[in-house]
Amino acid sequence: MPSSAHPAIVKLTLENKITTGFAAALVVLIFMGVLARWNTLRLNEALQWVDHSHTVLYRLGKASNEVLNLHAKVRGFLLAGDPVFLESSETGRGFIDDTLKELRGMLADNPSQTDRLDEVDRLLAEAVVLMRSQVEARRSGGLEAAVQHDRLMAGKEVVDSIRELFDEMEVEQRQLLIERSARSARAMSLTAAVVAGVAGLAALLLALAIVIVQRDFRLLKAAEDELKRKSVRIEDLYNHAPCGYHSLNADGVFVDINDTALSWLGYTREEMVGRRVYGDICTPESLQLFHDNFPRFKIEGKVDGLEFEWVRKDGTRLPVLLNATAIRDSQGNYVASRSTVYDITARREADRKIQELNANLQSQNRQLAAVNHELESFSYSVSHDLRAPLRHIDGFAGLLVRQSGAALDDVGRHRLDVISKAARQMGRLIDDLLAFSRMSRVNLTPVDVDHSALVAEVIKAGACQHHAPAIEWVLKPLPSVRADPVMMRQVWFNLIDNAVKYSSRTPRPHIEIGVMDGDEDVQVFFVRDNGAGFDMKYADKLFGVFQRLHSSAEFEGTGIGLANVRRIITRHGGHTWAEARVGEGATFYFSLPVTPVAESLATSATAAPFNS
Amino acid sequence: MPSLRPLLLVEDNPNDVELTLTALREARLANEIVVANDGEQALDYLHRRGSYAGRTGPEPAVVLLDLKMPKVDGHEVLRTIRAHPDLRFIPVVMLTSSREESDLCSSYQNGANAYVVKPVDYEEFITAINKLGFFWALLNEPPPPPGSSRVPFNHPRQ
Repeated sequence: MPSSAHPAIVKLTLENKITTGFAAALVVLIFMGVLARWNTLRLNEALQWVDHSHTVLYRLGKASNEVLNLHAKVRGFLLAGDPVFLESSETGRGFIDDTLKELRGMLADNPSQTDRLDEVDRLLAEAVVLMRSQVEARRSGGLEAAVQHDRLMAGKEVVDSIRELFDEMEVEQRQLLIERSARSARAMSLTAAVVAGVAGLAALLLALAIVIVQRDFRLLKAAEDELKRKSVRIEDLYNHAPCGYHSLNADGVFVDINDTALSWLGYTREEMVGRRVYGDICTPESLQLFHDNFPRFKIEGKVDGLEFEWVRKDGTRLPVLLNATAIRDSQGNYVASRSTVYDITARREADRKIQELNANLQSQNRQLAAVNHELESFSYSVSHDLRAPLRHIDGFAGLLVRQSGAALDDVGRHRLDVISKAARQMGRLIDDLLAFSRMSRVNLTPVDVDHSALVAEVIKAGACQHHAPAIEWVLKPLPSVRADPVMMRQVWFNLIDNAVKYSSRTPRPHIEIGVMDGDEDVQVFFVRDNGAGFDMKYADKLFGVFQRLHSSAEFEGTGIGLANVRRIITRHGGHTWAEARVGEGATFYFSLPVTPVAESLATSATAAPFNS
Repeated sequence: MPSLRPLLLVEDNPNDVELTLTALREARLANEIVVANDGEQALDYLHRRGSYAGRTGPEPAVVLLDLKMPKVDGHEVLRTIRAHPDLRFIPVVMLTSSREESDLCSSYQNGANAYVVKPVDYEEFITAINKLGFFWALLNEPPPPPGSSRVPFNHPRQ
């Protein structure tokens, strides 16, 4: 079954979209994490630096106090001379050195502070030397020597310088603290902003992904629904088509079959698919046909117009017409057939009827041929055997008159004359009848006939020979029409002869020959005279054999001429008719198709002389 | 001049024989008129056999041959004459009641020299026979007798 490519594409895209969406979200989250981490590190660093500044400040204050404290202790000793003041001076000195060492470590990255520490070290050493000398002076020289003004002042100056340096350092350190605090505050707010931004972006992405995925899911659903509808429709087309479908695998086993074929066969799908081979539903002859064609079909991939006879489950037969093409895999191996099957019962029946009709027709043709043959034998007999006695009657009557005429009286001679005339009249009847019969049987050989020339020729040849008053001829131009020239000559002769004959008692005979206007497919010729005419109620008798509307005493004739005209015109596919009025003349018409129809067998075969 | 050649009339109907003989007599021909009543007699006469065995004299100047006859009909007589080496040149005129196309065709195909339909009218009949007799007995130069050195060429046998 064919599948639409559209839903597959939607599905693929949807999967891609989901993957892409999640990948993007992951990337954003990772980026957000890294950024947050980086910001935290930066904040930590900033905070450490703030902490560091506080520690430095604390140590600076402590060191400054210790220096002051040491100086105060030395001054106390100098004043009081009590060594108790000096008891902890050495530890104080050690604490200062430790603190300074710590500070040096902490401020190693700051050259200006390190320079100040160097100065502090130098001044502290100078102060220690001064204080020691003062302590020595007190011990040896007493209070007087110890509190010499310049010595005291020198000590104070140094300590003050040291404290000044510490103050400077504190100022700088506080400045640094302010800067570092500000930096840490910036880092904090930046981190917050970054986190908020990234979180927002992630949320946005997620929302977008959800919208897209939802929309695609809707499309996918619609495509699936469409696919389902299509599949239902195709399934319906397959199963309820007005022809049978089935598929055969390489072993000839049914792998699929539609409902139509199943309903024909009377089997269920379960009884067929995978269970029956094609040969199972064939008559022996059809099985042979199948074996003859299936191997070739698997190779050539196509088979057309095979007529099988299937056997239904109930044993009845079903004639079918089968066409098939092969389904192949990507390597070109035969997989299965796509077979289409038509029920040709009706066609078979029609064929049978046609054959029956043909047989009937042939038998009728044979009968006709037999009749024709008999007719020919009959004509032959008439021409030969019937004329001989007439010839003898006339002959011997003639002999009698010739040799014994003188011995007879007038009555006797009159009676012999009647005998002769009767015999001759019968001879003419027979001749005309034979001519008529012959005209019906000979084949038409149509050529283009110049009717004007033909009419002129017939008139000149003496159709008006037995005419007393001069005839006024009106000859209109006539067209050329395809016809048998010999027969047409007979037609014109008979009609003109008739016109001349029946106008022979008219004072001013007038004969008009022409063609009617009108139809392009049919030409209608006519011969009009102003002669005796006839009563129209006998018009249908005119063209019959031996039918006469006038006595032989009035006008001579055998009653064959018009029958002959009608026979010839009918054989050409035309018609004959006449119009007349008693005493006013008659018009005889005949039509000829411009394109002659093929003469049917029946027309020529039914041309029996006595049935017209 | 050799003796007059006879006319051979082949006709089964005695009435026709009588009428024809009367008509020929009226033509005042000196030639003997031999009548054969059917095709068999005609062939016997020509082949000088049967009742005509020992016949002497020349072959007929013309054979007036009816078509429809018992035993051997006119067509067969004509074919036999034309097939015989010594008889094939004898003039044969079909004298018949039949105007059938098939008879005409067959006769000419078999080598008839003429085809005359007997008229019903006695006067016409007399005239026709007179003319026939006059033409074939007097006017027409007959073929030389068989074996004559005057035969100018050998006709292929039919």
